Amino acid sequence: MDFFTAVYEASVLFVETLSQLRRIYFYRRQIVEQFYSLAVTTLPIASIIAVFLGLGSTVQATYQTSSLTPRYFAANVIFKTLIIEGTPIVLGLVLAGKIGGSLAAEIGSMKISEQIDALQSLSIDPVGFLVMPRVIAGLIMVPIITIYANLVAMFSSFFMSTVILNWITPDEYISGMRMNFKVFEMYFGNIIKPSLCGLIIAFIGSFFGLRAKGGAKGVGIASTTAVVVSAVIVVILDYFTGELLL
Amino acid sequence: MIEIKGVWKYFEGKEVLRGINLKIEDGMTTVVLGPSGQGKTVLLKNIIGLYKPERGEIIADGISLNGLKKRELFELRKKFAFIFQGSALFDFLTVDENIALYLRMHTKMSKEEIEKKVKNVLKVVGMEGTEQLYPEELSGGMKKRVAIARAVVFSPKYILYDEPTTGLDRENARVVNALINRLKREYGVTSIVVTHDIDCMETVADRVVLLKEGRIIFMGKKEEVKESHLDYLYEMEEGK
Ligand SMILES: Nc1ncnc2c1ncn2[C@@H]1O[C@H](COP(=O)(O)OP(=O)(O)OP(=O)(O)O)[C@@H](O)[C@H]1O
Ligand SMILES: [Mg+2]
Repeated sequence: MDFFTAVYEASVLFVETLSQLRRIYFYRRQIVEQFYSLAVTTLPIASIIAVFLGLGSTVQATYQTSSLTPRYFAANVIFKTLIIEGTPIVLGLVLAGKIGGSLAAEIGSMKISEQIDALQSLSIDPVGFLVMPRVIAGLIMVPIITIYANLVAMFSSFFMSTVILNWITPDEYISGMRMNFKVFEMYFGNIIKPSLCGLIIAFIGSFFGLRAKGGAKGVGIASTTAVVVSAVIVVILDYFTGELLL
Repeated sequence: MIEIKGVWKYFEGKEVLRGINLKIEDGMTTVVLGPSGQGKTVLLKNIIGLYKPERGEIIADGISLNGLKKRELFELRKKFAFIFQGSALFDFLTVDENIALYLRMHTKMSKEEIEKKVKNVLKVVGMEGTEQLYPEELSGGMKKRVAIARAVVFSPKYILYDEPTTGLDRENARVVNALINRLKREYGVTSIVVTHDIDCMETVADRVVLLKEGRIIFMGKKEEVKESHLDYLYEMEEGK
């Protein structure tokens, strides 16, 4: 498929989405619905992933740490890797599948069953009614879910290393977290990266949904393409934001 | 009045509409008859600007669709309702939300007023009591009637029907045809019906247009349509 046509069309849609922002109040109901549906569909999976990310990274850290390294230092590594890199990227990829795939399927099936045309025929702009609310929800809800996941992951790591493994005392663990603490890193891992991911995942999902054509097969193609493309962009974005901002 | 002037439409180099000239008179039902794949849906979608013709223009109530800004086109579309081939009800909304959507988005009506209107049009189409159902819970004929309710709720001047009876059994087709006639009689709606259903044409048409391979091969009053005009319809249906 023509890569450049797609990039051009995506840019056009993006500009349209931005221009619909001035009608945020008009579409408030759709936006609230998207916030709700995003939270409900992603919280369970985010919880499971966060718990096991915390456990997994703790097991790794305790295993890799020799008797020569101070243990609070290992706690520091767990804390920083999880918040800045681990949770955001794993969650970003999972949500690329979850949100990107389901948005593309949802909007794609509306496209092939002429529901998008039906919106237009009722003088309702599909970009304002469908795309903009989803993009806003992605932009705001993904960071919130990431903050939640980071909290859960840290707690599960803390619990694992202090109570279950009894490998470090709570005081030591906390002083490890405080070591070399930078506020910007917290913004970076909890807000900046996730909001970019959320925006891109929701936008790409909507974009491929709107391009779907040719029946159920077309919807399937739109959905897988959206997942692959947004996952790739999430990984690339992860590198560049780190490179530029840290 | 809608004027269609020399409209050509291509898709990927394929000519679908080849110079359509047609006037739609107010207060009448014009039936465009043609077999499958002849560009009937494409013609209707050009009329409300969902597709843009490569050549020619559409003029609705004196306003040419060519070169209209999106906002102006949306304004003009408020005169039109479109009944899609597959009904195209919004599957994430219930029946009453489907019907209320236009009023909610474009008018300042209160919740109660909207509710009343929705009840009213559901009665017109004989679907009382289905307010809380989702489209997936409806049969094809019921969906069609809800689609008609969604269309008439904002009192459009024009209603465009895309194969309103296709896929329906005789009884449902009869109900839908009767509705088309009733909307013309009671609300003075101007309708364009595209179909390959000759029964439907005979029941609702004031004027008939025969479409073949993107061209109009006959145009006239229903009484003027002769058996011979329709031969190609049967031939093409059998040829498939
Ligand atoms: N969006 C599109 N992209 C490419 N080709 C299209 C598109 N829409 C319609 N066509 C082509 O235009 C031709 C006419 O299509 P149209 O849907 O208008 O037929 P129709 O008369 O409505 O037939 P049916 O009775 O099956 O609905 C078909 O050959 C179709 O392949
Ligand atoms: Mg058609």
